[in-house]
Amino acid sequence: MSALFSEIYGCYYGVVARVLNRALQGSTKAEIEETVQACGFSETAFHLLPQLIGSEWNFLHKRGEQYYSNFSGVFNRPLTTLERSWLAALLKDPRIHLFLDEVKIKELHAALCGVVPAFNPDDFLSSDKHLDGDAYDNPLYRANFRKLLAACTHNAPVAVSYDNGKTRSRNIYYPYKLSYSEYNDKFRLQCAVYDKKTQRLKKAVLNLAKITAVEPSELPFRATKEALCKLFSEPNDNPPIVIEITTERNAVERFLLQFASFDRKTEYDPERNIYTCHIFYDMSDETELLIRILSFGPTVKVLGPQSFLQQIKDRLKKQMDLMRLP
Amino acid sequence: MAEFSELIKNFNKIRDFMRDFYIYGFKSRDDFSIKSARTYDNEKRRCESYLGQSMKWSYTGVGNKVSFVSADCGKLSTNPLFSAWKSKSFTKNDIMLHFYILDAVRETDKSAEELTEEITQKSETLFDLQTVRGKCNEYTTAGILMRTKKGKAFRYALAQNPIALDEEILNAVKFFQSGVLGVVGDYILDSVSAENDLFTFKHQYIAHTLEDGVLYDILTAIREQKNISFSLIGTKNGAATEKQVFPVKILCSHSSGRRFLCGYSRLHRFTVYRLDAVKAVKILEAAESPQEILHSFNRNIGKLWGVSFDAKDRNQAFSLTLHIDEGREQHIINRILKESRGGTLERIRENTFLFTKDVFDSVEASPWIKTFIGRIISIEGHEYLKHRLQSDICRMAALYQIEGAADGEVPT
Repeated sequence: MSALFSEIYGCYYGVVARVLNRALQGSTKAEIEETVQACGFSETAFHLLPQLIGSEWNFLHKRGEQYYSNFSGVFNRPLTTLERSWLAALLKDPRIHLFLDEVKIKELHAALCGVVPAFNPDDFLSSDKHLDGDAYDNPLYRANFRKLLAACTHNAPVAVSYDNGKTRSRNIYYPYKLSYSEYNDKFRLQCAVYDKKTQRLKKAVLNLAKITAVEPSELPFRATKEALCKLFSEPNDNPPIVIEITTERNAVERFLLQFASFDRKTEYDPERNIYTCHIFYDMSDETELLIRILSFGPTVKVLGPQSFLQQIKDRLKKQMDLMRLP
Repeated sequence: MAEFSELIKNFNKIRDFMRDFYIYGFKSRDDFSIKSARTYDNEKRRCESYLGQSMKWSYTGVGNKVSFVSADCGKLSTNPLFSAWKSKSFTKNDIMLHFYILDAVRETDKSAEELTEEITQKSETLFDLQTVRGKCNEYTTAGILMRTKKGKAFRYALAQNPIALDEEILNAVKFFQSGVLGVVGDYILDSVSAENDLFTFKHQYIAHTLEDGVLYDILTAIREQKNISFSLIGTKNGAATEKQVFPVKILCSHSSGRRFLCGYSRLHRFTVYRLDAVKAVKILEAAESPQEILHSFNRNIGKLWGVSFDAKDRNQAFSLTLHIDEGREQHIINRILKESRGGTLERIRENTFLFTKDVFDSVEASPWIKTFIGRIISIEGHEYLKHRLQSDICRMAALYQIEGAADGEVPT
């Protein structure tokens, strides 16, 4: 614990290093405040500035309106033992080959020789990770991954050939980010495509495992990073799922933990001893949400929206018919 | 009254509050009765300070203010809860020595005596030799300084990075900072003022980072094959029980978000403990016969559905007959195959499939089985499982007022 929780990695040390690095060339008080506000916690400026600017630590001196660092150069903290051991652990993960080629991995092994890895992937056992995870050892998959990573980095459009098992297609996409799910053990490309009819950008998500080729596009780039960011940050406009949760079988704790990754709001009604949770979600996750909610059985009850509620009812009706219950 | 500080000495102080604000999100000041009101106010203020926009509040029906943390994790580039790890308090000496020592050794190595003299002069603050030497040794252990012996004296120099943090490596760090002990990756990104701008993460349980401290100690013990002792905090009453085990594995459920320590106890049994209930891990002596325990664990894992080794009536096989339209629902077959946990799927007639699995505790499979509501033709297995499933379906039918549903009683 002590190795992990140390002031060396702390917010205040980081903020001070940034201020001092910037103040090598001189900084105004406003610039120092700006750095502290941008990189610190909400109240950091109040606690840190008096000591930083004042004479208590003697880190800065004032000349005219400018503050200058009392140190001789930029602070670049070397990697700590903890960080090296974490990096050494990554070398045992098959996904590292997506980022580094064999030569680089050999170099890293040599450089980190003698460093004890912080963990081993075998220390963990997942009971429910999907068994059809992406093939990280497939050379084509690795090559496509690197091309898409570069496209995301440089904001460059790409021509993607895609085979979803039923149809094949080739389209120009504007990559945004790579999305990974540990549960699915899959990477997906979050990207945008221009709608042929409306000529407006729309979101697209492609499974990397289904991509057969990635080529640079000759088209002039039209989707800026800001436009992509805006597109993927838009709040979901569909109504939230509203669910009542009972206290039976520890459902409150189990439900709220399971759905913690969603934007949500929970209220407690002490008179009924019932919790009501609003889950805000993307429509592409609807089916997954539906079956996950069904897994809680009668310990939760969906109140709405109507279309979602109807899907629950339809499945129950089919189930009653199948089992001829009651 | 002591002045409020954003920073804390003990991580456990913030761990429980942050988890409650994030996971539950409905608790008002009165619900945190286990702590004093002033403790609540201080910890809430810290959480607000660390989390900024992610911390929200609303009022309950009876006018109590509720603070909560909520975020669509699929849109986050970094885990906002990492900030709790960056809140360690320090003394004036700590921060002064940090910057003055790193500055003094950036060009050449120096002895503790030379450093003490130089720092005292430059900082215009008197430091004693013991304090400076202590900090140098602490930083040598941390890997920031390198210590060599010249003659009789130790000399300290800035450690050289064994690797250059180039774009390729930083991209890997940006990805893996969402994984095991991910906060360490975030520290690396911080050290070069980089941020993850390439990846998002679905099905991510950001609260796991709050367990990274105990996890780090457990992983160390697993690697060194040593026993551990720890306090297990009751999730309902908050009471602590002392435990001692040989740590074998960390068991994870990516669908439920729970993680467990699987340990081999003195009673010669595998027992699991929720990681979020584990506190104060101490690494003890080397375990006896660790290889035998690991072999025994590996022999047993094939029959785990979730984490339970403990069903009263072990060796519970269950089978599930499902209706799947072969022509249009290949995706359901694919789903079962990828979620099968070693079970077998067999086509028994047109549009009818049989899933079978041998497990220690079939009740653990009950939530998964219910995800197939609308397709379940029959279930065979332990009576308790069959009854639980039938009862749940009947109760759900009554709850949703499905035509023909009785009052939720299981037919006999």
